[in-house]
Formats: sequence, structure tokens, C-alpha cells
Amino acid sequence: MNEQPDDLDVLMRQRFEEFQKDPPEGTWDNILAGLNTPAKPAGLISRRWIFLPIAASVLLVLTGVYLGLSLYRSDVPLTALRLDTLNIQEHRNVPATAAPLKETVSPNIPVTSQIHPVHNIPTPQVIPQNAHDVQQVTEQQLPLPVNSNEDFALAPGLQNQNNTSANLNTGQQIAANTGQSGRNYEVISTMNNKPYNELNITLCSILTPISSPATERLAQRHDYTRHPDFFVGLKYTPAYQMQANNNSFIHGVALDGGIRIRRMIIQTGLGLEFQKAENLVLISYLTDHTGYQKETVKATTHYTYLNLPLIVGYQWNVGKWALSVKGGGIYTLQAGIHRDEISPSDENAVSFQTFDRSTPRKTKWLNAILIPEAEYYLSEHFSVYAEPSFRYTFLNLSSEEKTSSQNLSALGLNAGLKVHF
Amino acid sequence: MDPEQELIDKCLGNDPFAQELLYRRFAPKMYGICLRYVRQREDASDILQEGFIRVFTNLKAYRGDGSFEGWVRRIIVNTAINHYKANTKYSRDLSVDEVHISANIDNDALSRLSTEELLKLVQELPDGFRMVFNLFVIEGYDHKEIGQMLGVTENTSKSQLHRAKIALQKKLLKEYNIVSYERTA
Repeated sequence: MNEQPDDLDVLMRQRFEEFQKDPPEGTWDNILAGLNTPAKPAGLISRRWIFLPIAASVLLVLTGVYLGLSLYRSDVPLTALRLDTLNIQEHRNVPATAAPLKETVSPNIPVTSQIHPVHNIPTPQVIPQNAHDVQQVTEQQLPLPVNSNEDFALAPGLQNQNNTSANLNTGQQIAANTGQSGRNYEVISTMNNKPYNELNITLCSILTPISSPATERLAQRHDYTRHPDFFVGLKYTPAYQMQANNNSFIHGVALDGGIRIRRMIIQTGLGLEFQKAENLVLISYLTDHTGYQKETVKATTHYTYLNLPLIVGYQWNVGKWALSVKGGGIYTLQAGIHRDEISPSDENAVSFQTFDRSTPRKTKWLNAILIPEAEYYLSEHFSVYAEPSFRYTFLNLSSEEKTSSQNLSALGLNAGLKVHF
Repeated sequence: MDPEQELIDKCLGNDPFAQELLYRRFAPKMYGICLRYVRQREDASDILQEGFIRVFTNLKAYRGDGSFEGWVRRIIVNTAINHYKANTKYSRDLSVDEVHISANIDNDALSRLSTEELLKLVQELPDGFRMVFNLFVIEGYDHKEIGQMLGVTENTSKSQLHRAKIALQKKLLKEYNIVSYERTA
């Protein structure tokens, strides 16, 4: 082959030697942003760290599925038990050998067995937890029989006036059987619950677009609009739930994942929430000495929820800012409930048992959610974001309570740090 | 002190105004180089950005041995080579074409082509051909150096240059009708 420069070579060299063209606007800004980005060791971050969130995400999913399934199997029928549908039962001179009662004991509720001398039973007192709670439990709302210490009928109890949150509409019957007549007590209602507001604060979030030369270049330019990139996020989302009668803290973990195609976002995931709630429960019981008594007691209940979101959105990029609006639905499943043992303040009430009075059922909701989000890129690999969320429960899918009136609104605020690889 | 060296010193002190001044001074010429190495202007812009970031972050390495512009130019060209490697999934080790073609070029017609038209011809070359053509014809590297830079054999570099020239001549014939061929072997 002839490698001597020909006329074309000479011409090309002459023309291109001094060829100039103005670069696009904004190039310097991007260079300046790149200069302010801490240099990363080449080839280390993406390879070393990209498996960490993926492994954590897989672990989270498996844990969530396991917990959800195991809690379901041992579900205690505390969920949204409507007291007005309960069969009224009478306990007349319950014999000491009430063996069938033991067979109905739920395996998750501990059974205590204590023997107390009958002649030492103190006078039971109504012990409200606080003044506000007492207002919720009035004598007029309790059509309970008080004329006999032998005949005992379960009263309808307080009707749930605003049955907005099925996880809080709990009730159960507790029968105390000391082996002697007239030593029974039972829960007749929980307190009423009202819609709550919820504040979610994301402490830490990891978002990891799967790396490619294209996405790296785009990240450098803060422009995610030309190529699809995949992302997965792991969030810890504590929340504080405020209600009329009780406040509770919710620990949540959520796995988000999706794809961003140009400006479109399609996102799904799995959320797992753990709630420890203290409800006020009104109980009544009979004693040999004082007859029928009632009181409110605190009941600690542990709830587990599974959230399955499907969200779509649209994103705008303005310099280092990424603004998006997302919306969609969340399918929420009450995966499990467990209530700590409750007992009356009468220390002489002994050997009580808890038994199911309705078939356990799955409580589930459909929520609509709207999430505007603002994200600011601190550098190529880090960004901070804030996203308020507006959630509205528009459909209760529980078999017994398909009503659109039981709506729940929740206001959330997620804020955190995203790490891009 | 040499104004250019003074500007470099200020850049070494991370003076953003000096950095922008340096960028403004060299950016048009370097962008012209970037445009020769890729087909899309967006990619040329990417290379320019990445190249200047390397210039500023490695400024300490410039010892004043040669011209500063030549130093910047080498960084830009190396960045373009890295870009090519990152976006090339595989490279074919082409055999040397044994067909010899004698091209008769109308020099007058050729010289009437604008630089933009010549740039378009180069940009439309296949990636590998374009890289070798630029490095050999414009930058002046030999095939051994090009082979080391691109990670190919010397023969592959030669072959790709040959094919690049044929492709250019075909383009000139097709689009401007200023080349005629004569098969000699």
C-alpha cells in the first residue's frame, strides 16, 4: 500500500490544522460542575458497590415475603372485628372444667393462669389512662348489664363511629374463667378512631442506576433524558401516626425499582411497615365481691403491612435540578397482627383466656398517591431530594367492609440522599 | 512572566475565572478536533467536556516542555480515543486489502470543497477508519503508535487507513464526482 501522503491527505491536513468551531452553550458550566465533583477512583465504585444495594434489596424482599407469609399463617382475629356482628354469648355459671374453651385459644395469645383467693378481691376501679381518653368512654355508650353477677351478656359495645382505619378497629372477647362462676370479663370495644395524618421521613435512600458508559456520560451532564436507565432504591421510612386517641410510630422499609425512559418514569417496589400501636380498650368483668365492673386498659398491638406500589411519572431536568411528578396506586395488605396480653387492673382476676369470635380475614386497601419530587445533584454521584406525598385510600377491599366511605388520607414527606453509580 | 504561563498558574490555584479564560481560548480549536473523531455533535461535546476536565485536573503534569496547546490537544485526542474504545464492543482485525486502486483526483475540484464538507466526509467514515485516518493523516502518528493507542495490530491500522481512503474517494466520487478509479491489480 502506498503510504505517501496524497493530495487528499495534504488537503485534509491543511484544512483541519486550524479548524475551529464554537462549542455548544453550557459546555463550560458542565466542565465547571465536573471540576467541583470529587474524583472517584476509576472503575472502583460501580463494580464494588453496585452489588451492595442489590443484595440488600433481595434480602429485603425475601424478608418481607417471609414475614408476610408467617404472620398471615398466625393471624389473630383482631382485625376490624365489628362488635355489632358478634354473637351474644352468655356465660352462666361457667363450670370449672370448661375444657372446650381452652381448645379455642388462639396460639398467639398467651394464656395466663393465676390463682387468687376469692376473699381478697379488691374493688375494681375504672382506671382511665388519661383525661382525654375518658371522654371517649361514656356511660351512655355502654349498655351493659349490671344487675347480676352471674348472668353475663356481651354487649354490643361502642360502635365504630368513624371506621376509617381497619387496623385500628379491633375488638376481642376475653373470657376469664377462674374455675368459679362469675369471674368473667371481656373486651367489648376499642376506642373510636379517626382519620390520621402521617409524616414520613426517609432517613437514607440509595438509588442506583445500573451503570453504562452512556449513563455515566449523561450523569456527568446532569441529563438523564436521552437514554433509559434502571434504578433501585432502598429506603428506611419511619412515620408517626397521629390519631384522636393514640399516636404510634411506624418503622418502614421500602424497595423501589423502575426504569426511566427519556422523561418517563415507571416505578414499582415492595414496602414493609411495622407499627406498634397502643389502643385503649374498654373491658368489663365480673367478680364475686363487687359484681360487674368495667375499665379501660391500654392494649399494645403490633401490625405489619405490605405495600405494593405501581407509579408512573414525568421528569424535567433544569440544570442540576430534576423535577418530577409521579402518581399511581398502592395496594396495601395487612399482613399480620399481634396483640400483647391485656388484663384488668383487678389483680385477683386470674386465669383468663382469649378465643376467636370471627374468621380471620385479610384486610387490604387500594390507595391513590401523588408524589411531586425535587432533586438536586450535588455531584455526579450524589443528590438530595424531597418528595411530599398525598395518599388517599379510596377502596377498602376487605370482604366485609367494601365501602367507599371509609377513606383515609395521609400526608407524607420523604427526604433523603441518593447515590448514583 | 509569559501571559499563558500566568494563566496556567492561576488555573493551578483553582481560579475559576482563569479556568474559564483558558477554556475560552482553546475550546473552539479543541471542539474542531473532537468533531473529527465522532459522528454526533453530542459526543464531540462530551469529549470536549471530559477532555477539559482532564486538562484542569492534570495541569500540574504540564512542565512547559512543549507548547501548551499541543499538550491540551494530546489530552483531547486521548480522550477521543478512550471514548472510541469505550463505545466499541469489538474490533475486527482486518486483513490488508490486496486490491490496489489508483485514484485520479481532480485537485481543483477538491480544493473547492469547504472544510465543513470535508468534515462531513470524515465524520461519515466507520468509527475504526475514522480513528486511524485522523491519527495518521491529521495528527501525524505512525501505524505502530496508532496500534498501541487503539489496541490493534500495526497491520490493522494500515488496513483501516487504506480502507478509509478508499471510502473517502468513493464518497468524493459519489457526492462530488471529482474522483475516478482505475483498478491496477
